[in-house]
Amino acid sequence: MKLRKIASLTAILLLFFAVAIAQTRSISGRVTDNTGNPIGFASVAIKGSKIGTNADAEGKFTLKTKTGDVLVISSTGATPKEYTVTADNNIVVVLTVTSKELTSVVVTSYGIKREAKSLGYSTATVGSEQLNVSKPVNAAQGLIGQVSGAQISIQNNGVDPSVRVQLRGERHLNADNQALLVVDGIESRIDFLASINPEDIETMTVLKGASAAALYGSEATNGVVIVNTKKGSKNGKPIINLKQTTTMEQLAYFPALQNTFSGYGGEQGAFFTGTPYAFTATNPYTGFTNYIPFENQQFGPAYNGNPALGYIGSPNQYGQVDSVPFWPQAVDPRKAFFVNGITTQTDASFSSGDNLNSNFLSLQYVNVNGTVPKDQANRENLRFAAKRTYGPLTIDYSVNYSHKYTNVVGNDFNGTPVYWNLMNTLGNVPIATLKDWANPNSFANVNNYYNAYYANPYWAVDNSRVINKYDNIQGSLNASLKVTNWMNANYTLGALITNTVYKSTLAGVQFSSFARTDPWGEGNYQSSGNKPGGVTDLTLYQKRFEQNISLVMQKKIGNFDTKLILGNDIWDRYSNQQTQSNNNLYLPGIYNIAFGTGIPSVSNNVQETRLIAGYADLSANYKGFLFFHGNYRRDYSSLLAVGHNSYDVYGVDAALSFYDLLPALQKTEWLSFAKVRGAHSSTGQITVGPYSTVNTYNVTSGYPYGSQASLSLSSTYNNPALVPEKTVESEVGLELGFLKNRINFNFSYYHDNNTNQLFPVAVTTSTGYSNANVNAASTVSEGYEFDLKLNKIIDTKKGLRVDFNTNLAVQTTTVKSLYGGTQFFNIGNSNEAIVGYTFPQMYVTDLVRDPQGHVVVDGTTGLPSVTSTYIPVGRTTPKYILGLSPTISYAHFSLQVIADYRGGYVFYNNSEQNLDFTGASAHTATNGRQNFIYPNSVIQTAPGVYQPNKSVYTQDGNIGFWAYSPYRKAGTSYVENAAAWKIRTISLTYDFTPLVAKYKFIKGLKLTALCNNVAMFRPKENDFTDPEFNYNNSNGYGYNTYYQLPPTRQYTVVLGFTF
Amino acid sequence: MKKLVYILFLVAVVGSSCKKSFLSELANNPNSPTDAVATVQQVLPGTITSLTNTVTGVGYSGGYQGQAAWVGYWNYSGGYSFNQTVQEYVVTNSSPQVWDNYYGTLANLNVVVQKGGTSVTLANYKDIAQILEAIAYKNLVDAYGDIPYSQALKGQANFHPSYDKASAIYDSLVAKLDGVMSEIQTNSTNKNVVVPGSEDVMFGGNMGNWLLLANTVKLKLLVQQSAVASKQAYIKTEAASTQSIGYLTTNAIANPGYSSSQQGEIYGNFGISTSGGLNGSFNYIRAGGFALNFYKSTNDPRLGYFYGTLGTQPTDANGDYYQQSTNPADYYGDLLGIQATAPSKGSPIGPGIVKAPNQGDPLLLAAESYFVQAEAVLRGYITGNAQTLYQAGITASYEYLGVTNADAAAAAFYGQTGITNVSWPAAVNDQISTVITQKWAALNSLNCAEAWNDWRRTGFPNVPATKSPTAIQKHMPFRYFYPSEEATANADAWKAAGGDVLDPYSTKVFWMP
Repeated sequence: MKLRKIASLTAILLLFFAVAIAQTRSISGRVTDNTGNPIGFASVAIKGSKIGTNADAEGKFTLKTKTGDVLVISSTGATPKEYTVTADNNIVVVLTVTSKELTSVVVTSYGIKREAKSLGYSTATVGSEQLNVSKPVNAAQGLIGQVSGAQISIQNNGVDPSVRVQLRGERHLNADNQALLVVDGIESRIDFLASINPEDIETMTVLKGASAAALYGSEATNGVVIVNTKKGSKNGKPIINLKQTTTMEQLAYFPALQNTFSGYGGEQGAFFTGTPYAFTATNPYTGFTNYIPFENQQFGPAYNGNPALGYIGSPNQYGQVDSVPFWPQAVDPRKAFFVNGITTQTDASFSSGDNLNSNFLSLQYVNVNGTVPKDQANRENLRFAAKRTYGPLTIDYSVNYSHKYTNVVGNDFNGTPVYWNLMNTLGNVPIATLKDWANPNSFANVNNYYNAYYANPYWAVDNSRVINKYDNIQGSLNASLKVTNWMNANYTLGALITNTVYKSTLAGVQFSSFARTDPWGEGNYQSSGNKPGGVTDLTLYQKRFEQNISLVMQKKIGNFDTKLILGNDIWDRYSNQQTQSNNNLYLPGIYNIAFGTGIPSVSNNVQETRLIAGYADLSANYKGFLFFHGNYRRDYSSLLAVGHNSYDVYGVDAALSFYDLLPALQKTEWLSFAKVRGAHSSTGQITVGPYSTVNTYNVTSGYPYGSQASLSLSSTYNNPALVPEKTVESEVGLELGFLKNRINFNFSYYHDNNTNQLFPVAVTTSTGYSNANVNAASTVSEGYEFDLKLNKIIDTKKGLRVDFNTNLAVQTTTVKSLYGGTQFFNIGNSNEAIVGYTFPQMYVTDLVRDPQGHVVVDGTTGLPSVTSTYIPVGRTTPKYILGLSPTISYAHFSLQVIADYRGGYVFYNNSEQNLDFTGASAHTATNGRQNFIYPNSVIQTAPGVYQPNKSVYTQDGNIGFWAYSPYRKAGTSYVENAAAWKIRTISLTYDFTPLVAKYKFIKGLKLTALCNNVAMFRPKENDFTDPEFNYNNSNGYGYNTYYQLPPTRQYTVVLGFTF
Repeated sequence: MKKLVYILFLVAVVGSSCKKSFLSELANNPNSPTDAVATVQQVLPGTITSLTNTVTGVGYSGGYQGQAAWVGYWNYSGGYSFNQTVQEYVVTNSSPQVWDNYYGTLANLNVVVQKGGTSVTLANYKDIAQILEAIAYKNLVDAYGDIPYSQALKGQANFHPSYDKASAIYDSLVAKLDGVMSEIQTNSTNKNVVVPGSEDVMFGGNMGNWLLLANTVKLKLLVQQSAVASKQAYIKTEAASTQSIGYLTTNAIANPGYSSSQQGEIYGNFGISTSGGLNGSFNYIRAGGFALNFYKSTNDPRLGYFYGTLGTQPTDANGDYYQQSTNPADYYGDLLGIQATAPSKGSPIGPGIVKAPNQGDPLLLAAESYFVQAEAVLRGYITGNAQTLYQAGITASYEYLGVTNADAAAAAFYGQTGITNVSWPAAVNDQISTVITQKWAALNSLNCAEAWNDWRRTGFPNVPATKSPTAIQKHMPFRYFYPSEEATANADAWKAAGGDVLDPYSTKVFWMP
């Protein structure tokens, strides 16, 4: 089947070759703007005749004409110009551009360049400068606030934070909802964005919906982010850019902690029997709890400076106790642990060339020292790109090598993360002085550390490391042959090869015999015995190859300018992961699986997927005001069983420019552009991994024992009957320009119907399996997007100019059905898909309430109770995303601000739930640790009869309530409004270029001072963290835990030279 | 001419990347075997060990250890939040649960049965799998009552299996075991039938032992129904037919080759880990006062084998590691509901249970076989000498635990006079309670579910109710809740079986009086 397709394509190629050599001479030309950049798709007509043509995306045109003819060259957003033909066969026409936005060429699927005004769907393009306003290390961060409908979420702080790129919300219950990344025409992984130098990016185009992306077929339902890299300069002069960036990073928002109460964790009985620190857990005189100095929980008496209590921890084997004042530390010890992070970026690039040939070379070195001591990352990027034109053949290519390294702290020997250990530190512990863990006599040592239950965070910093090294080679080659005036043949070949080497190491611990015997009966961590060291080595080799061939034919038929593209796309993706670990190492400092007792655990996983696609794309332009476009694609995938593995993808869209249609409109002063558009598409997607249609067996857990092997049936039922998912999208839009395009307005509405979703439905194990891959579930997504660009709100003669760009997206996905009568599907992170509810939905337990919603408390204990069932309490992705970016420039100064708001959603503050347990949160001190009347509570006096509770106090207002009561166990106690206003970036640039213009050796000099994460404004209930942070990069959103670090703010200075 | 070269180049590249199997060659998973590759020899070993692990049930969270505390064997050391649930007799749709464990094993046993099919050569594998199936289904019925049986394990053919009546499942299991036993007997002389080798990690291919195990399981199925008045005639007929085959006299222990670096279920939870530290569960459990005091009050030397002395722990992975004591004051356990505050304040699990890193895990002990026979004799189901069988049961328990001079020590123990539930009493009713109580005393930590079954069926031994002041329930549960997955993924069948209305404290399994 596919062989025949290739063969017929080849025949077409050869056929047109014959036509090509028969072509006669004519004049050719180029349409550019004042700076030499091409104006694509300009109309070229011979005055007084019906003969004419349209320039291509590069502004080039060819026309049969004769000397003396007058050509009229026009383009939307530019002043038309007439040109009289002379003997010159190669002409350049320069048009004066009035509005840049509308003339821009949009690079759509497979590098197909289309005129912005002809598009029937919504796209957005962000240029290099805009992308780098915040000087991000990861290019995805540069999109924040710039594109309506794009939700870019930074999942955590740290030296290499994971960034989630999602367009138009979530639609798949069980598959990745992130956008597809395309780099220079080659499909890539979205996480590869973290390995690209943002300075190498010429433009980033966002194809928001399935319609825009339909030509990419099965992977395009989540939209596409297209990265086009720089290929060199066009104006004939070599340019050298040097840029040095220095960033300081500081903690900005820290959870609200209490600094009033000391350590106590519910202990009973007598502990220290010797002097001078003898005490019991309960004060024999007052009946209240005593200070427990070895505790992690902070439910003890208030700090009062009592010198008799001036110690932390239990005595060591010499009877010594670490002595501190019985006051909280001046600087909160939990903050004191963090350091100032420093990031430096060094960029150098060289570009040269003209319109035919150009080249580009860039280097980048980024070094990040994080806010957690010793956390570090760096990245080196090297890119070479060039473009050559040989007559009708244009070849461009690029090669990118990047190396990324991250080295961060891992979990300690108890398996807990550093941040959690830190949060379990009492306020009177001078943690920053307890770095000397290696000294056996130090109170920082594992045997003498004050906290009986959680280890010294500095121990993990020095002894538990997670190191990742990524090597990427990415390259692509594009060849374009102008076969005839009306046909181009294109060939693209690309590869991305990534090698990941992961190593995590954990030092072993031998506890002293003194500590192991748990002399004070604390149940200390040392008493559970020595901890062996461990190592995990993982290597992952990933390889992607893709080849794309297309023929582009342009023809004017009557009043229609038509363009037909026929193409073929083939890709192959391979990965091989090898994991080996041994958690029983016996030699200190030797992290090699060979030096362990027991049997190392090893595994190997190979995956390979291929796809073949054929596509056709037809667009027609009727007299410059009506545009039709349709595409069709058929995919053949190796993922599904033969017979189910091919599927159709199609899209149609149309645009009507009223402005161009009605001459009356063109005469008005106030209106400068008007267009309506619509699009409809149907895309298929396969969201299961390779080999999901054939049942397999696993090695039985624990086996082999010696020579005895055993296999067990996989608990997932792999279904040979699976077919692809389907997304049907409809989109309409309106685009308006006013007052010579000083005001641009763009509106889109879209509606997605996502059916036949593939997911592993949970089945009861009495079927022999615990889950089964099925086609089930449907969701509907819809949303509105508004973009408003106000250019030159203020534009004075003295040079003050104010621009203001804003965008708003409103998005909702609703679950319509799941498998059979199933109503719920667990997404993870307390997120659920629930039929009839928005997706994803936070789904947690609640406190028992009366019909009015008041919490019902027990008439004796004054305590609420937890429901045994779960309730949906709100969506976990923002309903509203608002982006604002004002720009003010005056003389050589320019000030740019990027701000955004995300609202209409909730998150689960799991870290607060845990800090309530430890008594560290300020929350737990709100009632002074006294018994209190649960606010707005009622008491049930008879079935269904509730009286307001005016007199029954909680039986415990201390540890019994905050750590152990139903209040803390109920999910709703910690589900908080996730809304936040953020000023993401304020950037101030001073351009020295005019000042240095007199020196020949330098062309430009700019100094920028900027601040990222300037401010965050949250509802009062969230006094903890950034609601954007999430436990992991998954469909389960809005789950903040103690694995996420506190939010930081970054101050950056950038000095850029151009030579 | 140049153009022609370019185009030919393109064509060459396109052509080279295509061949016929381009997509289909990636259909097979290169990482894992498919059904065509897996053989019964490879699937069988894991089914034996996984079934044994579930029966032994040492996994402390959610598995059988709830029963271990309920019947008085174990208590929990303080500071671990989950013990509140156990000591309050709380059962939920998530804990305790054995549903997934047993059905997971049954799915693989079903593979062996299906692959065995009608093949004569693989008949032994199929027969072994069916014996194990009978054990798994019996234990599921005992925990849950009605369960999916005839419609279970059908994969996509039935994702919503209906439930069968518990009593009917019992009858079906008895009939299946009859078929298996006659096939084993017939095949014993057939040279074409493959005799399993090392992949039979229980009996090493000794089909005679499998026959005895099958017969013992059949007798257990029958004795378990002793309180069902309407089935007495049936029980007697069926039990009589077991007599000629005989019963298990050896311990059925699964051991695929455990070693210090690859430990079995019991040792892997309570012994010394590969790295030399204590395995995770050792400090979680402490002696239950009821069982510990019973051994003390009956002068039973097994006290020092089921339990360790206060403050001791295994210290050497390969040798003797417990300090034994002849002073009963060195052993201590609290009654359920009284929370031992620290691990050091209760006796840990003892050296008769945690023996050596290479120890196997018991599926069915000879001791249990003898006690079941003794009861069957006392109830008139089979003929024999109940007292002799009773004494053999105690002796087999002493032998399993490794009590010094086991046979003599056992004889001295059961030879004591005037001690209730030890000395052989005169009245038949007392004999039954004595047999059940000593069965309970022998199965400590080795088959806690069977002790719970006997309590539900006979009321012996009379375990005191939990002392937990917060417990709402005043007696052990009568059954488990169905797991949450049945309510969500198999809702109609679950409701039809009464899953939405059952009360685990009053809804009885059919064999309960």
